[in-house]
Amino acid sequence: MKVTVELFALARRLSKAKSVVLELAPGATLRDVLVKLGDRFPALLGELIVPGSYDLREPYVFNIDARRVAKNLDEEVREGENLLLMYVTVGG
Amino acid sequence: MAYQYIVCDPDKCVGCGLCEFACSAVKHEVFDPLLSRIRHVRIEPIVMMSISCRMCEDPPCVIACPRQALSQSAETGVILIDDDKCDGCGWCIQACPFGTILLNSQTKVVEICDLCQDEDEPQCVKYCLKDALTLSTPQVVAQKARLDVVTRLLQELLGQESATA
Amino acid sequence: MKGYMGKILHIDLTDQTTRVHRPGEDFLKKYVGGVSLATRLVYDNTPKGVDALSPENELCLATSVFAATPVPVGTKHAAAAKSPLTGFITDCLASSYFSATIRRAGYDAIVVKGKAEKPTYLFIDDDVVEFRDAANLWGKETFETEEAIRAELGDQMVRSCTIGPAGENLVRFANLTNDRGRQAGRGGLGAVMGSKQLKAIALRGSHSVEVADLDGLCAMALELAEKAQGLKTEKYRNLGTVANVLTLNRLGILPTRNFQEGVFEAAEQVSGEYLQEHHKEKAVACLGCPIACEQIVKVKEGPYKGARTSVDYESLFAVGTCCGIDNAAGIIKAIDTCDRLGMDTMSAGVVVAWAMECFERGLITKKKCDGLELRFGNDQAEVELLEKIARREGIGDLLAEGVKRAAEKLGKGSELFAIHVKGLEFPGYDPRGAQTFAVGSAVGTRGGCHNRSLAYEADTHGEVDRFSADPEKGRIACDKENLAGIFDIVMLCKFIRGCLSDAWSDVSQLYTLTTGMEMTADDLHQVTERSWNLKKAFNIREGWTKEDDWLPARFLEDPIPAGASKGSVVKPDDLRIMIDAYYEARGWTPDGLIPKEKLVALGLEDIAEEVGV
Repeated sequence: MKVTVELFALARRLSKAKSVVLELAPGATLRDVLVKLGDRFPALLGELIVPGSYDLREPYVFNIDARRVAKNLDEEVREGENLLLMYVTVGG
Repeated sequence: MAYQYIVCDPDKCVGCGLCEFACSAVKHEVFDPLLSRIRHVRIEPIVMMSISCRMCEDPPCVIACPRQALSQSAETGVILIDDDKCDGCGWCIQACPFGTILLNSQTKVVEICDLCQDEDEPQCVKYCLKDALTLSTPQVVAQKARLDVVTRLLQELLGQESATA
Repeated sequence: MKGYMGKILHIDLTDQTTRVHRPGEDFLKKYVGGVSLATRLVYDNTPKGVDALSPENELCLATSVFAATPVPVGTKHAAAAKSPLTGFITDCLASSYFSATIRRAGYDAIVVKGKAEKPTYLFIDDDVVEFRDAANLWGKETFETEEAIRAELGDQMVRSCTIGPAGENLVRFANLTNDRGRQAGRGGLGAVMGSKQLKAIALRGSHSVEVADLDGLCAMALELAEKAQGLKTEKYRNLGTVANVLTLNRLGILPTRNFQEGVFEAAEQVSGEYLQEHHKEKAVACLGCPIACEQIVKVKEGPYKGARTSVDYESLFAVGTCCGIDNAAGIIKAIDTCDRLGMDTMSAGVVVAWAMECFERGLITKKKCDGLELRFGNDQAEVELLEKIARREGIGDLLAEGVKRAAEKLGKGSELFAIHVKGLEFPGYDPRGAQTFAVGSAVGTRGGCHNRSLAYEADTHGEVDRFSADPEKGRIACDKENLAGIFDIVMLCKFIRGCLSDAWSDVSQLYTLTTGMEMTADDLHQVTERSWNLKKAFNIREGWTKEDDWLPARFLEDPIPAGASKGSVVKPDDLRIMIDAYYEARGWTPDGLIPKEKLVALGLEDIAEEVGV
């Protein structure tokens, strides 16, 4: 299945991409998405994605379809979802 | 011989002023820029730099002092102050082209950066989170500048090559 | 007494007299500092019912224990008074050298009342207070004034907070500026100073600041400063708060064209990413801050060449996306204009947006706008209009009153799209797609405020479902207010919050290291609750009723038309339920009033009779 990962701020700066479409196996989780993302953009590893465990460094989160923030990385993704890799600031 | 002193990179300096707090704290156990031997200068909105004694090879402050209260350590370049001789006239303060000598209004004696010789490391460097402050020599600063500029030039050349390839 | 300077300076501009009040340790520990102390001073010193632009309205500046120490992001001050814009309390935050110098001059707080006979500026030089002639300064821009005062007094260590032409002309959202780019922005404190014919408050101080546990405090300060270099602050350091533009746009809650929409088609061109690539010069810091979030940008070419200032998200949305402006240069110019003239960018932008909507609907004519084509997207018209507002010229005179009064005057249904709460123009998060912020902004004591509330965090960080309305959101709004309050009271910039393992215990530890006085997390809870109740009490005294805690019609009636939050609206019944839950969480009556027992329990027995029920 295909999902689109949208990249903001630091994620965008490191990957130099605004978004990317990833091909995933059925039953893939958000963590699997991060593995693929790390393969595609090695610059994300370390600063944003923890190598090895493929955790997402706080305070970054996945926002699904701009409607809700994923509770954890074990959530399964669905065909056609837009996964926003983002963090919203305090104040302004 | 090159004396080490506190070098500030104005591009990295963000103007937080923690260096001033750290210095007055370690020397006087209070927070007070007037008792800090490193002073921050900020010309709004983006020019900022901290400055302290540069251990001049031929220190004008030592020459200027009418009571020979100042001398320079041959080993470290640190300016040494004889508290008994110093009468707080401030002539050395005027003589210093960098403005890095302070007059302590309580003790009436001048103070100058001594590279925190009683501590493990200069405290201003320790509290500078942007790595703007380093303990360095003019020669090392120049060497870094040469290395930076050549690296940048070479990178541009490399960039052009791969674009045409 | 360590940590505090122990003195509050009272200045009377009418009589040109001063007096020093030593409030004592118990009082200072009870109110701690910042907005809590400033509010107490406002409550005690400003008589009930006075006009905010009258001599009796007292301007209160208050620091806390961290200013002029290396506690990271701790060098701040609060400024409060009765607001000429809302008629309720406005409490502002600002930082950097001016804040430090209040303490170095020997004071925890400064209170100014009365009215000078002619344009005046104060020079507070340790114990000496001078009332100096400001004839040469009147008319000058904000930073220009600061520099002129330094030149006149011959000392770079002199720090000032100033008003610009907007404050002089009593623009109801005029601000106070210090250290070039720091503003006590919202609610019109600039007009308060202008009404006193007070052009600036200049300070110089020679006091050292002592703390109780120097080594302990320095160690904790360094540890925090090191944490502040990590991922939790990366956004501030790199893009700055303007990183919000693309994320909020994607969430569909980026206020666009006077909050008509939540998605802006030109968001990329006005984004933080764009600013960084095309305009950024440097990120700089306030005194005492190891983060450095202030993004200095410059316009290098074109009609706005030379415009140069720092840009934060709230300013950008208000004069930018909210006015439909699709070019970064125009936005920078608009912000720079507000900064020079001494006006709150947020209020100014939202007022201009309202005017643009009026124009597009034909409610005001081009003639009434002195020939300006006041359409959404017309940056040139916006910039010209901002100048007019500051000088109260032409239609600027109407807009200088703030969107609430302007809409009341104009009528013709324009009140329906005057986007404010209690008269304070709305901040940059559309509450239709952020229901916790819907209640959080409705109940704000100084008006709808993102910063005092922090409720939008629950929505955007996914702590809750941002689209559903439920009573829990009212309780969350209360908790977020209390947390935000602590930062505003002990005075730490909220940008460090991600670096604290537990805000309540970290803050109490810092406080104890500084003052030597015990302060537990529970104590802090009391302090922040006391502060919020005191703010509310002031508002009640000045005529607040339940109707004032509500949202503009647009949010209740017009669903967001497109984007990720399409179809969202704040239903009045839902808002009522959430506000009721907030009142309950606060321990207030269903009418939002404060029971006497609650005030007594908070140590506010002296005001229980006057405002309690």
